[in-house]
Amino acid sequence: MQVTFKVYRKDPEKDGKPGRSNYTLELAEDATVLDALLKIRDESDSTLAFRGCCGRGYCGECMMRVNGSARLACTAKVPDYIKKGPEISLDPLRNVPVIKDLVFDWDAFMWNKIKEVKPWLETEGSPVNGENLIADAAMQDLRKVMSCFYCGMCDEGCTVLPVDFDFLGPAALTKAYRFAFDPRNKDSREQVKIVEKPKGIWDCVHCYEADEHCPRGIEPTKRIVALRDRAFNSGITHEAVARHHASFAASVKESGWLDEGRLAVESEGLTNVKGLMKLLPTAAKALARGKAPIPYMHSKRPDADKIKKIFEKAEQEEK
Amino acid sequence: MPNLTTDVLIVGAGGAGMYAAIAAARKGASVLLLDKSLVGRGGATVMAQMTVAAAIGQQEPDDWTIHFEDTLKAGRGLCNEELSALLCEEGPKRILEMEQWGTRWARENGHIKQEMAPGHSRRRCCYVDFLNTGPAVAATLRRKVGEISEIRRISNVTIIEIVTKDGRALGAVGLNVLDGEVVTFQAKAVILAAGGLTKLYARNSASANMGGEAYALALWAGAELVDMEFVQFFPIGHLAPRLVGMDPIMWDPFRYKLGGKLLNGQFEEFVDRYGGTDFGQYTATRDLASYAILKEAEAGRGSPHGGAYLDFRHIPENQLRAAFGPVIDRLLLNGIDLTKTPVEVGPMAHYHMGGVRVNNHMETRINGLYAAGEAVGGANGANRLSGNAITEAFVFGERAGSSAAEAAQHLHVDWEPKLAAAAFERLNALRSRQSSDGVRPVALQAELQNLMWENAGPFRTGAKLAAALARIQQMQRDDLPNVTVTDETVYNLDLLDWCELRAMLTTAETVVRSALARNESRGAHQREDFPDSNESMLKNQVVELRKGEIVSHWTAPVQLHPGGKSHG
Repeated sequence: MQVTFKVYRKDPEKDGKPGRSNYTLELAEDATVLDALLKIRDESDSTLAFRGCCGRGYCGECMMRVNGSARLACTAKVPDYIKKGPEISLDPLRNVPVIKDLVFDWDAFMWNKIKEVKPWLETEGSPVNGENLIADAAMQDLRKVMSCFYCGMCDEGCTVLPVDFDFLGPAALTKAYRFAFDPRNKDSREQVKIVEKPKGIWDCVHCYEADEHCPRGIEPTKRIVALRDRAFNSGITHEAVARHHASFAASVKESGWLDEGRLAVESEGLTNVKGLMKLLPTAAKALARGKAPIPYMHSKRPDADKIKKIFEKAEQEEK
Repeated sequence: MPNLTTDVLIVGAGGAGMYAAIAAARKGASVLLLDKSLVGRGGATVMAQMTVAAAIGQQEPDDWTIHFEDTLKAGRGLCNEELSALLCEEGPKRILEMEQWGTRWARENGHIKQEMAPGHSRRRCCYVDFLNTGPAVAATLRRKVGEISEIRRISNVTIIEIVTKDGRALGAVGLNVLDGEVVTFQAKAVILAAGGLTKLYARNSASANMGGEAYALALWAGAELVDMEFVQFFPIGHLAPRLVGMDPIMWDPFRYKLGGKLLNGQFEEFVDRYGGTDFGQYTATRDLASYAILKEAEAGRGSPHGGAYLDFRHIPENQLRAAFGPVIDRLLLNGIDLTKTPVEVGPMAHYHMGGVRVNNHMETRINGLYAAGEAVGGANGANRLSGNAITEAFVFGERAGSSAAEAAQHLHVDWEPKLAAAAFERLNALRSRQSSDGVRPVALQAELQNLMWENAGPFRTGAKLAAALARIQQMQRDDLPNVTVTDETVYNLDLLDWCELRAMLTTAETVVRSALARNESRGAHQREDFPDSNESMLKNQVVELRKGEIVSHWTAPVQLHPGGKSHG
């Protein structure tokens, strides 16, 4: 089959501006994208830079975007990408520092963030006979998470990272989950404390793209939600989003409906003068347009007591 | 040129390199951990889907001495017994240490599950489900390395020369592929952990970056290599149909869990014709199975791609799924339905038994120069047992790291910039060459791979080996100095290929010369012109560089002193 590859180019030694090169080549029917890249390099353009190592989908080095979606070049079969025509576009990942062509900075992309969550096991004292004996059942949940091979596809799919590169991202947060929920770990609060800080779990927007991207079905979003629950249950709720959640629930519990004024103030934090000042223009506008009652009063809705009972029952069950 | 200083410099960051880094750091040394690929991703460890052999005795009673006996038996009399004993005795410690660092070995009934593998007399092979052993242990070590602030990781640096002075290693010269700069490293001790040489062969099962650099670097630095003729060919590597996203040697666990029949092109069982008793029992050792498959193919009874069929059709689908769950789905995505069609398998280069000659502290005869993992020669003699490679990476990595760190405490580096000048000049000369009519390094690599597969592969003859040697020498003399590389500095893969090719040629020469001199068949070294073992050749072959020439001598295998162990 004949296929044209339209490959992203960026050469820091020349003008450093992104461009594209087109290569048309003849490939075997069972060829992968990595086969094609190697062939281009061998036969037509030895200046093309890309990574590739194990060639079998294990090391993750050849991650790139194939027709726009993150894939490992060594496991992407060419016929799967030419159904709409014999052209394939190849690009580096979207939000990472590109070194040259398809080669980008892996440490900045993922490893530095994973390291931030302290992804290592610290057990209580020395284990008996050198082993931390626990029931197999206790590890069932973690087994899937532990099959992560650091490919980084979840971070590539993430919709927060494009607007805020400092967000820890699903890969690091899932790694935090893996240790926070490992029963062998002596202090599961360690990782929770790290990820509840700004740019951590509260910045996730639950778009579920990470889950869609993960090739091992690890469901990073579910893990992030679990970390949030763990944070709440351990009383670690001082981030704005956490306070937002807490205030939301408290308001409904007490009055039966949402007290928006209280939500805004409590989310910012009662001692956060700067944050509260930011609310003033919005409050003034709301007042001017008759969107807020004067004087500001939040009353209970009818049968609010019944709603409170639902809350109390749920809280009881959770315990 | 940038100059970095450290106590311990580690070349290669696979399983052995990472373990060495951790061990050296916990002895208080500062560590520089280098890889020409990405740290913790390149190399063979991450590819190991299989098992790790260690006599932890959780599945059934076992002892390291039994593992040791099995290892010696497989090694056909050529094991360095001190190294084999170290591997077997310390293996269990390393397995449990990895568990504490977070590796979750597969378990049943509250203990680590251990499976049988060929050549082992006990069920002692640990693994991580499903076919995830290598990625899982690599991830554990990567994280552990990340935890230790004394370890500095540097990816994309390839080492082109070990710097020595008066029989002592003082550091290294490398090429930073990311910016094209030559970098010098001053170190009190250097550990070669750059893995094996599978890339020398057209058919191979490992990562695309194992070009035998550890051996060439050691040789150039003045160290000795041992047993270079013993390349292990994995008998049932996947040949067809095309398998994407999976390791070609994945069929081994299928065989030890489920059986699976090895059939020739006429769908007959055949391994018993060559002295093995297989019959779906999976007990034939690797060298025997390779031999049987290739002989059958040679006799015109092979599968279409020159191998044999591996057939699981007699095994019910629910059994396949119970044992390999998600792997069965990944096979189906590749169009392989094991209940309906057999796959084609055949030998491919998998591992190197030979390597850098070291003592039981992993030190070469060059002071301060160490080796670890597959780079080390001798522990497995003429043939390696299944499951010993990752154990070796852990054990030798730990030993090399702690030995190097201890030695570093008493050493200081008498560095002179001129020591690195030769390597620097060599690279500059290459880069300044503007001719565009020369051959590209990658083309020569491909030629060498085919040459080695055809002439120094699973079955060798004196004539074929001599032809290979002649062509290798010609490539070194005429082709290597005249290659063409692009003139870019940032991420110039041609330069990386050239560095690799230079090492590949030196390593290939040691393999071919050693194979040529061993006029017998033993273990993984099979000479068709000398089909039998010769008791007078029950010796190890040691090679070294003398005045630029590779020379060899024979030596009696290292034996443990009767009644006691000499390592410790």
